[in-house]
Parts: sequence; structure tokens; C-alpha cells
Amino acid sequence: MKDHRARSMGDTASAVGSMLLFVLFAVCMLMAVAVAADTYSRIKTGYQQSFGTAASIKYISNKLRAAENVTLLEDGSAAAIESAGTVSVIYCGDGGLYEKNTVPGGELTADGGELISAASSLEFSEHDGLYEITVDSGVSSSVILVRKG
Amino acid sequence: MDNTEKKGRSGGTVGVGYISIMLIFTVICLTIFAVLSFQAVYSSDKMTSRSDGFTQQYYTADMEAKKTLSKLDGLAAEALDGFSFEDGFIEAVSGVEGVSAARIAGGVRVEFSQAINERQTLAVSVVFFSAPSGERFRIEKWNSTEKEISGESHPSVWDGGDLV
Amino acid sequence: MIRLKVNRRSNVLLYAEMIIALLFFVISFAVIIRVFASADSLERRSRQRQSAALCAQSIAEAYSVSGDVQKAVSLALGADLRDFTGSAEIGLDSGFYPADSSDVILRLDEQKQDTAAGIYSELVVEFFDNSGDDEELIYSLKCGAYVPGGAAVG
Repeated sequence: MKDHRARSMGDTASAVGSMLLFVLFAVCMLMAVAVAADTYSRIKTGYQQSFGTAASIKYISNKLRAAENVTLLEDGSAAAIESAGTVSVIYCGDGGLYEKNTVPGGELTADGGELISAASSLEFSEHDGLYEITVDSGVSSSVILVRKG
Repeated sequence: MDNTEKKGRSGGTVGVGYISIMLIFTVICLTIFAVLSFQAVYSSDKMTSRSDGFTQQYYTADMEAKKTLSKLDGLAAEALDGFSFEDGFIEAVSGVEGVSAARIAGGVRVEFSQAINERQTLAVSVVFFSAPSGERFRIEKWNSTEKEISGESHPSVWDGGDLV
Repeated sequence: MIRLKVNRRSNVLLYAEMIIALLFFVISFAVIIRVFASADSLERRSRQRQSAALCAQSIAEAYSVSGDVQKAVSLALGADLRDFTGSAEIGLDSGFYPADSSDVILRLDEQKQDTAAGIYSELVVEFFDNSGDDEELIYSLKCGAYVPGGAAVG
């Protein structure tokens, strides 16, 4: 009788042990998946934010290089860039960078444009014969100088 | 038949194969995340490289344009010594390849372009005056412009005429 | 007795499967970690190159306008570059701001040519990663300026 009980206890301990080992294994695997997902999202969002601001600033600087005439609007938070018979109004609003194309002589207002990329602020300033453009995404910020045409 | 017997027949508390299934699932998940991370960064990096390439091309063209400008300024300085600045300068400029000059009120407008790449050029327009160094010229235009590609096909639009 | 044997056998099978699984996991994890590490290092390098490209362009633009390296560096980076004699090195931090602890080194090399009516000069802007054992080139840009006697133009 005693022997039978001891065997039964041993069986239970063995079963619980293997079950615990299995649970430990499962938790480790799930943690590995969670860490991998977190690393992926960190790499992707971090890179996308810095890439987004850099791409936006390059886009604006290329527009300025091709510009025939540039007018800063709304205390430098927007700019109207005239090139090849089109005026592009570039401005920031609703968490994004927007561009509106109009004809020369048209109304230059910073609204109703199409979204270029995500950004929290845009600033143009003029000094020493250069335009200074700052694009902020909330996390990262990029600055570039472009000479006046 | 008691519980222990049932467990025994089914091969213990945790059946053989569950671990393998879990492992395969985990490895597939990790592989997918790793590949997606690399692919996201790699494609953006390629775009950055392309953009860097354009920047290099732009500044190479800009340097060439500045060399041409320094050459033209030298010619303008030489033309100051002649009888007529405008005539002497236009004649001197005609010897420079790819540069066109035209007389305007008060000076000479010189235009030239420098290729940035197959699609873009740097168009420069400068007005030269009969004046001392530093005030001898004024840059009117120093812009990158899109090249007009000959033979570029546009989709034909029906103008409302009769179909033949 | 038979029940005990069956239980033991299944446990042995479970442990054997677990050991094989762990072995397989370790091998595949090593490969996956390498992919993650290369993605991370590529991201770091690419981000550094982007910042370097923007900095270099700002220096190039300011140099084109002023024809003066000291002024260009001051406008683009806010760095005070005294006694510039054709070449200089500036230490920058990881955010590309002038700092004593230099993760990035900015090297500037200027060459001037006297022309008939002024000075045409070329500036090479190079950024090096100084965080590792060896300096590694991140980005390089060559730009020019023409000084006709007064200020630079273009």
C-alpha cells in the first residue's frame, strides 16, 4: 500500500515537473516572439521617423533649388515656391506636411493641400543669403540651409 | 481505469510533438520579423543612396557652373580694357562652348546650362556690367530645371472629333 | 509497474524532444539574431549618413554664398573654427553637434585657385564615424565657390 502511494507521488511529481518545464519553454518562446516584435517595431518606427523628416527636407530643398521665386507665408511656417509656371504652397498642419499647387497670381493660402509626409512642424527663415528650413517630426528634427536663387 | 492510467496511455502530461509545433511557430515568427526589419531598412537605405547620388551630381554640376562663371568673369575683366565692353565681351564669350550672350540695356546677359543628370540641368543666367570686380555681374537665375526629353510620349486625348 | 515504465518513457521522450528543440532553436536563433543585428547596424549607418548628408549640404550651401569655410561652418553647425589654414577637423556628437567627445569627425579640406578676376575654391566635406576602432567614412561631398573680389556668388 505504502509502495503504491510512493509510486503515485513520484508519478505526480514527474508529471508536474515535466509540465513546469513545458510551461517554461512555452513562456520563453512567447517572450522571444514578443522581443522580436518589439525590435521590429522599434527599428521600423525609429527609421521611418528620421527617414520621413530627411525625405521631406530634401524634397523642399530640391523645390527651392528649382525655384524662380519664393515667398515666405505665415511668419515662415509656410512657403510659396514658384517654378515652371506652377506655385507650390508647402505648409504644415494636422500632423503632416502638405503641398498645394496653384497658378502664379492665385491665392496663396496654407490650406487644402495634399499630404506629403508626417511632420509636427515646419519653419522657414532667411539669413545671410540662405533659407534655413527646419522640419520636426516630434521625435527627430532636421535642418538644412539652401542658398537663395 | 483511473486518471493515472489514462495519462500513461496518452504518453504523460505533455504529449510528444507540442514542443516541436511551438518551436516551429516561434522560429517562423522570428524569421518573419527579422526579414521584415531588414527589408524595411534596406529599401529605405537604397532610397537614401539614390538621393545621395543626386546630391553629388547636383554639386558637381554646380562646381562646373561656378568654374564657367569664373572664366566668364575673367573675360569680362579683360573686355573692360577694350574700346566697347559689350562688343568685346560678346566676342570673347562666343569662343566659350555652350554659352550664349546677348546685349541688354546696361550690360550683357550670358546664359549657359550644365547637365546635372539625364533628366535635369542647372540653368544659369548672369548679367555682366562694365564695372569693377565685385559689381561686375549679377546672377539672375541659378536653377535646376527638368530637361525636355524629345520623343516623350503623352497619352493622346480624344478632342471630341469624329472617330475615323 | 507497466504504468511507471510508460510514464518514464514518455518523460524521456519529452526531455529528448525538448533538448533537440532547444538545439534547433539555438541554431536558428543565432541566424535570426544576425539578421536583426545587421538590420540594426544598417539602420544606424543609414541614419548617420542622412544626418551627415544634410550637414554637408548645409555647409556646401553656406560656403557657396560666403566662400569662407569659417563662416560656412559657423552657419551650418554653430561651430567656431579659428585659424583655418586649408584643412581642419571638428569633433561632433552622435546628433551632429560640435562636442568634445567625438563620435563623428568632420574633416574639411579647401583648395583655392587664382583665376583672372577672382578666386575659385573647392571644399571637400567628409564625415567619419569615430565610434569604432577604425575611422569609417560616412559621407563625402565636394563643393565649390567663386569669390570675384568681393563676396562669393552663386
